[in-house]
Amino acid sequence: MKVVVYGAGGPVAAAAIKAVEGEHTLRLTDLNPDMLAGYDERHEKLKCDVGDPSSVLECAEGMDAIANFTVNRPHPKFSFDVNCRGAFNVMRAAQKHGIKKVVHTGPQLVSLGHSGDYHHDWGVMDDVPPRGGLGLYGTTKQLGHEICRIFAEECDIQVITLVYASLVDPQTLEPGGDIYPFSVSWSDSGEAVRCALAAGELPHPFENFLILADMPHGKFLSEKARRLLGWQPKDNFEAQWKRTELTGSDDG
Amino acid sequence: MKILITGVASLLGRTLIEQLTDSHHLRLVDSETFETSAEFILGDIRDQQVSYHLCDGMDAVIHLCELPDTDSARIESEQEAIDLATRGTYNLFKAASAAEVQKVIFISSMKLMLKYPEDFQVTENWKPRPDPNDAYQMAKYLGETTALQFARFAGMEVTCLRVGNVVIEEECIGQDFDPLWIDARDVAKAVEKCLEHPQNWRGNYKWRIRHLLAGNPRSRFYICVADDTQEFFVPDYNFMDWEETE
Repeated sequence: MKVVVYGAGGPVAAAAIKAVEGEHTLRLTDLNPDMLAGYDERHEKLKCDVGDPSSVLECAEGMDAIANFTVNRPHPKFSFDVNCRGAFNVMRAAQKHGIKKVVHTGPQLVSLGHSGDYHHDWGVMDDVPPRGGLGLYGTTKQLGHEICRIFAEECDIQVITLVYASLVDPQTLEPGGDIYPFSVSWSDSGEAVRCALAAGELPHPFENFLILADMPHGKFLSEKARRLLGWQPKDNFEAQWKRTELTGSDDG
Repeated sequence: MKILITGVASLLGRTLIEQLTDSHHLRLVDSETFETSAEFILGDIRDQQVSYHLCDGMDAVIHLCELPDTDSARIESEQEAIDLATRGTYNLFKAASAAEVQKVIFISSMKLMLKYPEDFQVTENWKPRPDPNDAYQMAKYLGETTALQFARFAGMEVTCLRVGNVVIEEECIGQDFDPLWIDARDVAKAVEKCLEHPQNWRGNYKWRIRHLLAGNPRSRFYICVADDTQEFFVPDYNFMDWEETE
């Protein structure tokens, strides 16, 4: 497939590009083209501001699928431009070009640490209503999430939303330390994007997936991504949550 | 009561001023100039400082969320509508929360429910289905979503009034009946009732949606279903002189 990647210069996109570049022809776009300098010339590279609908539309021309990794966290205007209007522009581009698959990414909107979310719950699943809270990041991402859902439901576009909390490199973790029970390795996050692009028809045109490793905490569940996308994370961070003094697995 | 009204240059804005001016202190804002004897501030609620200034000292806010006419052929109008309804609403509610404004009324649109078949009895309990081809509808829905977050997380009393096409009945003579018509004076009356009527909030936060349309049998939606709607909304202008034509 020919896939246009928005926000290709960021780290989540980098993991995804690494996972999918052997299978798909990629058009990489970013607001800052310098961020794409590390990619070889096999990939087409374009400048794109997702807040600019013409730019988004132009970059999607001739593509079969879209992967959107754009994000702005702190800015009172740009967070709306990117996370909210940007999502609208991406979905409108998919609709205008007849693109039937969009992989959307964002933060989990279930446990951002404010009153009224699921921060103190257990067994939190993929399909609970989002609770973005009142912060700029949560609010704008929730609005983007809603935009994607509406386009998916009303325009027959498959939107697979992959949401993350903590992305970590297992090589850099100190064994025995605590780890947030909504963590996934960078490489497994990229693999989730590969699975999302490969996915066939799903039960609902808009599907939200919590992307986290196999973690025994029971706080967040990610069974749905395994069942519907066939995603199987390889890194489970066992050394972070297993007591080595009892198992004797640590010879040191 | 000290009340801030946004988007006052619109028909609904002007009608609200007439309805409320005798019994309340009004502070008015619009992004275009407007002749009035009330306190008027020329400004854009997307500017955080403007929003904070507007809400300071207010007891209630009526956010009309007036949007430009959107047309998918004019991309900039779509972008402007979405930006106003999301960033503008967020800034205004954030400022209202900081100023400890107790009551906020958000004006949304009955068009969010048009995708349902006409023979469905659609009430406030139905999920909104904005048409993604209509940025006006998308913007209003996103504005509602933003407003709901402030009811849920900031403890504000928020009423979302979904209104049809706002007109003055006498000015529609000679026009074909529009099943989305609602007279601006009836909306203004409902807004005043929302401000004054003791609320019967359900659940653990103060959010409610009410549908407002003319009480005409040919109106697109039946309005008097919500449990307390009849207590504060009995429309006076029902366009009953418009004969059914086939």
